[in-house]
Amino acid sequence: MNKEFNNSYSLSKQDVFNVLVDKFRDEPKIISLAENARAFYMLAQERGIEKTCFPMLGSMGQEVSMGLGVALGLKGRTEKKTIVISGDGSFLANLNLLTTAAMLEPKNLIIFVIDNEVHGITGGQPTATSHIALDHIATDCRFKSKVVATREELLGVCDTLRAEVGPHFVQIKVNRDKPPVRSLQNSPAQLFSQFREYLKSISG
Amino acid sequence: MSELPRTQSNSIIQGLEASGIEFVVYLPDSTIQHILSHFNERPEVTLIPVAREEEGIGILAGLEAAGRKGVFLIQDSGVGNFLNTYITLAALYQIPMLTIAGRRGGFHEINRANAAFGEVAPSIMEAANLRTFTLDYTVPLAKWSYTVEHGYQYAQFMQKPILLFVNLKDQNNEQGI
Repeated sequence: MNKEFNNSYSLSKQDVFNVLVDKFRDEPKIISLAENARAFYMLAQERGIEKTCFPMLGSMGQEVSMGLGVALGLKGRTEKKTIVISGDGSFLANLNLLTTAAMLEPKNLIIFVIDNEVHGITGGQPTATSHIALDHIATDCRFKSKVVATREELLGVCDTLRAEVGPHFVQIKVNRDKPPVRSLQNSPAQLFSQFREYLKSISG
Repeated sequence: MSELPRTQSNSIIQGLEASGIEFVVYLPDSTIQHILSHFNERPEVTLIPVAREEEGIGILAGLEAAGRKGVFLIQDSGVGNFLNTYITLAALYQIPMLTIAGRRGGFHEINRANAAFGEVAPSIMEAANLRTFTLDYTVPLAKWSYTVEHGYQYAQFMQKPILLFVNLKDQNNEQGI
């Protein structure tokens, strides 16, 4: 364990964010804390779609729980899918959400786990995803699961996700390149309020 | 609203029904099972079982964001499992939600392990500056459904999470001891 941990994947987090922010522009998105939240929200602001995003400032792992709550709350009220953008470290902190979701089968939920196999922001300590098949666990919990590691594979998956009934789980293997980030300046209350207003606007 | 015999559990049920609850998120405690059984028979209410209490806070936050009415039912020791998410998501983002925690601390407890955290749960919530209310022998049973209903409204008005400790250990005692 006491060594620099690296991988050889070609995709970067920023590559993934660029794809997701375009492919799921008009869907509600809940993003896990730290680097993911800051980088994705900054990108969403540049695209003018920040109100569709809920960035977590803390509560590691609970982006998936909140995503499940949004999906259940929107069921039958919109055709849009609920998107969760998690990281491997955050997702492993709440792995039991998969078993909870298995009982509820939220067909309108898509979970992306951006997996660089480390806790990036704290110095690159390894997570367990280099040792386990996370997608197999998701499949056993009744998710339609895929692992992608190239931009072409990711684009191909995204084109089918909206059409297919879920729930979906997509593990995206990425390298350790860091995306550009900016600290979130909005107040938490304002972030929740604007996200709630956006969900209200898309609910039938 | 259901017409039910006057007991502590039924009073809570009536308060939740008066609030128009659509989702009951729960990690069960034996003292709240009658409430869960009641809503299990109601097709208009969706029950959401969670494996750990912090999940429930996240799910309730999502339901609130989607404009739906939910409540969270737990054992009071569950406070220890959800405290981080309660503070860094529910309280920080000013998300209204109502949690009802069945008391294992307090009168009529028979299990010392359950009581170990239950005894300190109210103090922990207070130390974290988190708002709670309590239903026990000090509150006349006639006021229980009112408290539940207004607890839900208070959370919405204040835009914050509210927790209601309820002592349901002696179901035969009308005074709620």
